[in-house]
Amino acid sequence: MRVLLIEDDKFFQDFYAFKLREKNVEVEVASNGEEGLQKLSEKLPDVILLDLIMPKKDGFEVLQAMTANGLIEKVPVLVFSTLGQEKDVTKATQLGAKGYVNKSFFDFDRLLEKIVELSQK
Amino acid sequence: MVMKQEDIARYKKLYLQTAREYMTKLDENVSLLLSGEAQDMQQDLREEIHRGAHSLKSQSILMGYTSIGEVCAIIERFFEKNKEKELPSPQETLKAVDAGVKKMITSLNEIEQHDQEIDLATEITQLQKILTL
Repeated sequence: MRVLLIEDDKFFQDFYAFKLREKNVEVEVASNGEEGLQKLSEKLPDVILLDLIMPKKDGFEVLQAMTANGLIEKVPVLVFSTLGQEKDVTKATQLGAKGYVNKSFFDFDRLLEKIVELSQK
Repeated sequence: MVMKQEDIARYKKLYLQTAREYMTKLDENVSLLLSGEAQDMQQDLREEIHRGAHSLKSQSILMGYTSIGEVCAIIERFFEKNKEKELPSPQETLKAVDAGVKKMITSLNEIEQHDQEIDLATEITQLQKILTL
């Protein structure tokens, strides 16, 4: 299984990439929306974990670009949100995201469960 | 749910390193806004403060440093609301943010040395009072 983690925060990149790799998930990391879209054009992952607040194209712009090029139908997107982002999550869902996880409340089993579930749809 | 103790120990160094980077940048950007310099960059600075406070909040809560997380959440909300317009009472609000950032830097030192953040209840009350004007 292959996950593209689009996240600008170095701490979250390292932490979640390490945890997922421990479970034999292949993880590709992009540090902003622009880089994420570039990596998407090279190879499609099974699932995208998408941060929303980022420089150089935020998560909403990534979702809009994926809608424009049709990738939103091919790759499920899980929003990587945090406290106080309820409105952002709603907006992202309207733009095509398939769900969300709160990256500040560590429940790795739940995250893995969602990734597996989405990758099998 | 916060991290397991073994994860906290493993990621403490990376947390301190990235948190210090965010704090330094927050400090610089708040100082620039306070000085009134870089008039053409005001919106960029406000957006960068918003993103920095957001990231620092998220990783601090994950590590269990909830006081730092709470200070950042107040700063994040204030700049999210005002990132596209001039700040209300800029001198008063920015000085309060500056004081909050400096106290968080002290707290990081405490975490590094004693594995415990300091109580930021006074700063949280003060920021809530001033930034929700």
